[in-house]
Amino acid sequence: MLDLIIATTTLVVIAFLCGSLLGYASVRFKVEGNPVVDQINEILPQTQCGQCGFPGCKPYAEAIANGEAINRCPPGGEAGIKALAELLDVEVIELDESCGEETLPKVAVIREDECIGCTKCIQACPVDAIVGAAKHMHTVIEAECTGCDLCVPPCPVDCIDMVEIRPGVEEWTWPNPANTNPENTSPLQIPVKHIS
Amino acid sequence: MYQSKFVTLAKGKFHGGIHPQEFKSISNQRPIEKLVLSKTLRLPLKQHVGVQSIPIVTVGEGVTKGQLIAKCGKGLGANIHAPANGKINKIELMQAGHPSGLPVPAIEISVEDSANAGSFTLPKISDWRQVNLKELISQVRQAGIVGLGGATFPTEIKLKNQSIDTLIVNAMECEPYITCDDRMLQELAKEVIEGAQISAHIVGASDIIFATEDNKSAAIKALATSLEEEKDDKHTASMKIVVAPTKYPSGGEKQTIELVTGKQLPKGELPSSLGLLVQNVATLRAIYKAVTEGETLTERLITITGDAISNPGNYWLPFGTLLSDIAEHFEVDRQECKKAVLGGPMMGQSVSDFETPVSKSTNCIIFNRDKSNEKSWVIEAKQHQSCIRCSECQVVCPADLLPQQLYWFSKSEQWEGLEKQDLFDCIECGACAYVCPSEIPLVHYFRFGKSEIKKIKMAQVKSEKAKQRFDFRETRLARAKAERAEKHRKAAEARKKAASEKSADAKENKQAAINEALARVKQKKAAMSEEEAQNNDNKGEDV
Repeated sequence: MLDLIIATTTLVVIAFLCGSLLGYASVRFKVEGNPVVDQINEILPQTQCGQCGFPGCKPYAEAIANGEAINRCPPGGEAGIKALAELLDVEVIELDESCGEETLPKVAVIREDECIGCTKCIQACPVDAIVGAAKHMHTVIEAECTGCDLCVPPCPVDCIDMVEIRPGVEEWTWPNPANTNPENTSPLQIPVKHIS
Repeated sequence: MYQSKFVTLAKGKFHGGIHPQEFKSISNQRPIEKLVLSKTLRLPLKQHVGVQSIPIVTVGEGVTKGQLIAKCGKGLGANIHAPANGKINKIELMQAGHPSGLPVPAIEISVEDSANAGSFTLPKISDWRQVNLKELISQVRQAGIVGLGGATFPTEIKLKNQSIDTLIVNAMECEPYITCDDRMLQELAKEVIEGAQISAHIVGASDIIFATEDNKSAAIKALATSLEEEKDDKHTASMKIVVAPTKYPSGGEKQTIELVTGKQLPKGELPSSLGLLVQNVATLRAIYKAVTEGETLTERLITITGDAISNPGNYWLPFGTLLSDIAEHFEVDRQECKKAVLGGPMMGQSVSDFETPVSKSTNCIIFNRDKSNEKSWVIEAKQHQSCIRCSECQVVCPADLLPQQLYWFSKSEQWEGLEKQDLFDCIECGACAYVCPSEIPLVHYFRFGKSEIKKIKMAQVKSEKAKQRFDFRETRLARAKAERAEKHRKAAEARKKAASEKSADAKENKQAAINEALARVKQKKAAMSEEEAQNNDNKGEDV
């Protein structure tokens, strides 16, 4: 009988200790916000274009964390979907075409002599990349523009163009030799063994 | 080898390395000559590590030799000067031999021979020991000097470091074919020594070590003889020559350091962490010219060699000279030689567009006859044999990496694994590709991996910035909203208060009015009752 009491008491004490430890840890190491949302947000391209149907990348990240489909981000494209699928351990699916198509990166350009200075595009820009004041010409800070298209519809005089960024020398990358198309190679080769 | 008290053998050695056939005797037998060939010179605005330079001339403007035409951009960069008298033809995107085949911003000058035009020079500093170090560094900066060994890192930045004990003069020149440093030491050793002394003076180094390979006996002899003849006690830094056995790539900065000092440069550290500064022979000679004669950097010594040309040798060529003009001067049969190699055969690049100019990084041009058995690597890359894991590449890798692993990760685009295998420590020397029995273009794979990783990192930086700006805007909008709401609330409160005050006043007024009225009534009543009483009294009196 005594054994039984000792055993039960011991177990109760251990359970109490562990419980209080866990309880303390949950208070002490409390994580603010949802870490999954931040991880998803890291993968999203931050164009803030809203093509996914949410007002920005963070809201879409929150929606994905709550079970929204991962294929609603055209700027992130196939690579983005793959990364999200890997993070969330779900199947890779095709891009949802109702959201748009994957295009080359673009930048907004205001035709400055046509701008009437209405400030509507400034209000629409999600990353504050347009400068200007009422009744004065506006212009886009190209380095900050994410190419989200959001400034185009509000413009009353249609003076904003979305221009594709042509990969210049700085953006150019060496092709993968394994996938290089023989007809389409750069004139350059590294000689190494050619010369003898 | 030449016996002298100045000459010692290298004490260190580095991992790996190869012994390719040398071909140096083709070009190192002939004395240096000066050539001015092109009627038009094409100068890319970026011939150095860092940002592109900013043109300060306009189209149609006349320029004199040595005049500044593009100044150093914001941040790391270098000045660019007119290599000849002439007129600015155009400033626009032009083909200039970029690996991508894309045009780059460049300035084109049409050369006009005018004997009396003279040339532009910086103020000369005859006694460089007496002037402020800042002045010397500024002279180097203004002269647009960059590392002429091929890396083109702005020299001024290297000279700003003040914690240097030893200056290592890199005269290894380990690539096959190239002999410009060899020939420069044979003919201009005194100027190189003076340049080294200036450089050592600027950084406060007490030792100068000329590091070279044992296949350059003529250069070693010339250098040792010059050192013996130096009776100049003014020279503060002691000098010696260290000779290493010939092996490719002993001219790599890290390899040179290991050979000379026996110490390995730790990962991610600069040579200055070991108290070392490594500079190329041609760079030091350019420093000498800039300081003592005020000459800006407008030409360089280039090895022009190969079996398809008439007089292989080393020539001073102004920057911007086009390959087509060089090919014409050296009687290259364009049917036999369809492409030239810029730089050495191991690390250079082959170009088929002969409208490519020579730039600050061009130390060698090879015109070889096309061979029937030659392979075009990129085109045949698909057909290369499979990796058989023989690990020959690992044996020869001077950076002690595992090229076979890098190859697999790069081919399958696994960037994380690629970085973990220290891809960025690869110096792209090509030793692995040279020994690969399957003829895999390994360096291509590594460059592909490096450029993709850099691109991804750049995109990450951009998206992080966009995120911050988006978050900032959100908080700003929220704050504006809260401020507006607060303002409305305050206004409403004020209105309410005003209204209530008004009503309270009104109430008080009313009460006062009532009271007044009451008082008036009372008074009236009192007056009336008094009157009545009086009347009554009067009545009573009457009665």
